[in-house]
Amino acid sequence: MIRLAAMVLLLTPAAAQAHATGRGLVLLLPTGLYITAGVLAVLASVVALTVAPARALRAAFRLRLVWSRAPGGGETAVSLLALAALAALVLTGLYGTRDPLANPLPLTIWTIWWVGLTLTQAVFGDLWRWLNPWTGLHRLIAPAPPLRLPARLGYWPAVAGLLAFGWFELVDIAPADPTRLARAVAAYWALSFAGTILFGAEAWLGRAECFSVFFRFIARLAPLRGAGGETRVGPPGAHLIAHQPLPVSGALFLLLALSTVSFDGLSKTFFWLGRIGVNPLAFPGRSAVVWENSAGLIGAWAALAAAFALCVLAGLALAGERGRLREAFGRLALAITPIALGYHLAHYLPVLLVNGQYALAAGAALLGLGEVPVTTSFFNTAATVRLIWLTQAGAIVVGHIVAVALAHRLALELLPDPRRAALSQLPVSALMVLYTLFGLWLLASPTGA
Amino acid sequence: MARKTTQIQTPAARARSRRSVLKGLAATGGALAGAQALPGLVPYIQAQSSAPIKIGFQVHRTGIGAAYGRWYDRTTTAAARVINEAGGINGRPIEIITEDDGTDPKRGAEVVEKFATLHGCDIAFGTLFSHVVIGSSPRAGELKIPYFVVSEGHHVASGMLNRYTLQPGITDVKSQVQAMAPFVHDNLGRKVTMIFPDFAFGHDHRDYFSAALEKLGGEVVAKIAIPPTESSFTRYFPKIPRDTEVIYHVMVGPAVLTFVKELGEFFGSSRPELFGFIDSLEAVDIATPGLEFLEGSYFWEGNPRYAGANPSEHDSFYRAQVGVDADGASLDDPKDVSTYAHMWGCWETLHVVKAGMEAAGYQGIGDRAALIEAVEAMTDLPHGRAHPQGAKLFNGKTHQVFGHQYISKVGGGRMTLAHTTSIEDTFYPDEVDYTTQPF
Repeated sequence: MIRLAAMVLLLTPAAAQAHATGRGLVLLLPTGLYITAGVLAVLASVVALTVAPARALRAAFRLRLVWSRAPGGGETAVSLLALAALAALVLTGLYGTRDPLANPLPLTIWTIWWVGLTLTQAVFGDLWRWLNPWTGLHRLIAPAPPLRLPARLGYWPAVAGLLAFGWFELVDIAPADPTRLARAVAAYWALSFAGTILFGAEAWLGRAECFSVFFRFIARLAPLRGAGGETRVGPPGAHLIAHQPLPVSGALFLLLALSTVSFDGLSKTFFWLGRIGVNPLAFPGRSAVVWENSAGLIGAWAALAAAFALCVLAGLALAGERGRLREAFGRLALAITPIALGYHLAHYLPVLLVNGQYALAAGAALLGLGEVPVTTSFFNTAATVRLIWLTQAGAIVVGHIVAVALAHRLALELLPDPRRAALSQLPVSALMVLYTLFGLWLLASPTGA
Repeated sequence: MARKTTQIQTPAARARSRRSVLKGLAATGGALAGAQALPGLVPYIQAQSSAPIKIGFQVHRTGIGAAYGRWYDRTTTAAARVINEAGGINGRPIEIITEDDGTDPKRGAEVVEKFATLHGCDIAFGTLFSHVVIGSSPRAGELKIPYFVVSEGHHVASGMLNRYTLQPGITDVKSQVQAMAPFVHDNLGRKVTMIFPDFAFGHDHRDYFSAALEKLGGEVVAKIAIPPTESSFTRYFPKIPRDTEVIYHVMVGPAVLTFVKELGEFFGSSRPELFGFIDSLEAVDIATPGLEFLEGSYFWEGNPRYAGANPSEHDSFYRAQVGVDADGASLDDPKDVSTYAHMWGCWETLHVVKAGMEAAGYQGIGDRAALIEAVEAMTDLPHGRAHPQGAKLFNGKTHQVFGHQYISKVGGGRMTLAHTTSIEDTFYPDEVDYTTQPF
């Protein structure tokens, strides 16, 4: 192994490395100016929210009743269909083409589902309630759960699941390999189904199954939400205000969702590669950085969680509150949700643009509709690169502005006195301004992995 | 054995074709319907003479090489279709079995193993990035599966690999770089400053070119190594000696456009001659704003991206089959510029495999050694549909092909062929004789 590594170091990476385009054109954009503008926009929202009257803040996030019923019905049938589709996809993964950009399984899982469904949930609400592949079969069998999911477990099983998923996506050397992915998907489905049988679907999908948990948080950013037999409408994040304060594990779950996608971006920058001693112009492959990426994944989560907790604590101290860290941490962490969504859109937009075409092409081939050509020329022209970059940056900036507003509103639930609530938000807001800067810097940095 | 993959079929009308997802699904259904009860039986039921020849295509579908992989895939698909339309190999169709190596050497070795043991491939083929070749080649040697790489690396001819690894379809970087020296010396200037990234890729250019230039009586007056993490270059330019007649640059990575822009700002309208390798701007539109400074400069090209006024009929045929226009861009999207300087290697390699298998009377994996010996026996590979880039000479001892190199001049946001080297310009003494190694 050492000899091989030495040989690799000595030898000629003949075909030269990453394309100049894409990031090359980004490096020519006035990103310094854009970053300044984006950070100032978030800062301005902080100032405005600090002085805004509580009444206005409450009014801004008020929910309005639009329908005295809630959408429902068909969950069992749709979930059974989703399960059938998933089974077909897994078989395609096992027996179809080995090409991850032609096999429907990796295209569906990584692009349509993980990237696409997340964004769709944020617009249309909790479609996953219908589309998940467990509830249909569970209802059909409908056994009484023999066990009760202990309350003290909180969201920890979901945290473990999301961490494993993040590791598979970011660190594993072939997460798009159809066979590997098919096995992973089948195993995860079986594990989760066993969970619903043992503990009941509501409990297991409510706190233990990481994707149901994630998608439900994201769905609360959508304008419409049906619950308790009523459908209400509100601005992004308004449906999160009535959410119970999260246990520590729930708060850490949302912070992990954000830190994972952030680290994915960071791990490709010249900055990070330089820190771990990897030549960014000759990235040696994922297998060479398994430990670094594993440590980074955990480290980014720990750093973000620690910074957030410290800011919450400092905020309480500013407001003269003591001993309510756990409650404040659990409540204010809900405001991480729009940031996670903004990062998700920004980070995965290029993937969506390219692999979305491969997904269309695979779908067209499946339906016998002929060829769909795939192009990446939008990474080659200055105008489209600018448009893509500003869309990504816009998602990050808007996500943070919503988060700052939401955190101020959530603080009023914590500290009914408006002045103290506003004071408590200063450190958290400062963190969010910094995280905006970090996100925009990630988009503007040269990358090499 | 029910693992079906890409089967390249003949009747596709378009210049490109896409692997059929339907077939994958149909295979799934078929396998489930019955054949799964007898895995492994189906291939033996088919007559040996009509069963497809399975070519394991190790492609950079994900990871840092994905942008190259996309075009390697298109070229390979087109070449396989053309070969099948002309009757396949010894009357048998070829089947391309694609596996993504993630541009990772460890994964590359796994993929080679899958080709040999899981998919029953006759050969493995198609790898570009050197670290993946170097990571995969030992496994190919252990499993005794011929491994045809399309990498440009000098690692094959240097002797560090093994008898099962061959590079008959693309020239290596050592021959490319040294063949530039006569043109630079005779036409651009004798005092050269080299600007290169400070790692193996740049060091090769530095060493091979300066040795070749000095042999001709020229002089490399400065060697400016740029740290790979650099993204701004202004502070390096004052190191360029005043008497420099030519700047030889081989910057790569995302900061290339910044490098050109800053170089332009440094020199203004009066600059030395510029010579570079298209690797810097492979798949980049030469008319990209910010590249104006390259007007009048020269680039090595493995295969001229712009067809020019008098393309050979073979080049035109090749472009049409791959789906690339006269400017080296996709027929579907004229802004989608191909990796034209490199991807032809996949086309030519598959044609060498065809010629080798036919010369060896290849029947199955028992004839792998005969296939390698047949390829080792090749010498002249004439310009033609099988070799649209130009005529070549294969060196059976070093497992490396040698061919013409092209130098193009930038003008009006495009490039025009200015010089074609002789094949002899690219020769260097043999560094290995793989034919002495046992199989």
